[in-house]
Amino acid sequence: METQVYRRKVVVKAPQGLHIRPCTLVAQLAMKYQSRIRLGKERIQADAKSILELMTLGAPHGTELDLEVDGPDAAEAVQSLTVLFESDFGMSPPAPQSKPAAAPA
Amino acid sequence: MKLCEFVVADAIVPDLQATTKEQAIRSMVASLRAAGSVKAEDEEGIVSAILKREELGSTGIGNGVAVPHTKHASVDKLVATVALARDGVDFSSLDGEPVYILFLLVSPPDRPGEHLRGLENISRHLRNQSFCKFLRQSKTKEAVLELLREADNNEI
Repeated sequence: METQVYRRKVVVKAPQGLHIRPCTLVAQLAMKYQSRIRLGKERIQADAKSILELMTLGAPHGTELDLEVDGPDAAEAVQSLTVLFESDFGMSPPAPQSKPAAAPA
Repeated sequence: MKLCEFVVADAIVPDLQATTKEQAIRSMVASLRAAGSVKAEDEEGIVSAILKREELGSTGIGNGVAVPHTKHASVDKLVATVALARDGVDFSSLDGEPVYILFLLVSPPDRPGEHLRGLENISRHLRNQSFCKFLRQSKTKEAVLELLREADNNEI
């Protein structure tokens, strides 16, 4: 059975770029899938399951990367990786504790 | 950016004596202090910050490599050191394997780009199996430095 190759652009929204922690999160997520998952920036191609390879992208905040997924669970992998890239990789400072709503007058 | 531009030659630790992550980090920061790249009064603060960062997730990135790091206001440019652990150090790496090659980075908080370029540079060389093999075989500071120079010149 032929599998479809999914290609999509993703943008690095992590405020400090794709440093080790975001790379780790991407690799950990990618490793859950059987599909071959690549992230590319210009001529650099990285295996998304390797933190080391992801680090070689050196992608700062705002970089557009080419996501290419090929394999039996490609559709799910694309979906979950896109969601991760849409987030800020949990890098935002924790939100201030919300004050209890004022009692109605 | 080249390795020799931010790896402090005098701070290289060719034979790291450490069995734990904390010992390894302490020893590497002490080496940066001895080389004059971080001040004695900042040493403990830098060690604590690096250990705190490790709590968020190990920087043992697999393939026997760890890249402990922190941002710290006491440095005005990216400084780093390399250590080689002959017997390996348990770093709670993602692949569960001990680490043999450690790059420790301290960068100014206001320059995330520099940190990212440093990581990019280190990871590009660490991808090269020959570089890792020769690095692990290096027994002296001079040998490590020579290898870093060769890597900078793409001679490996």
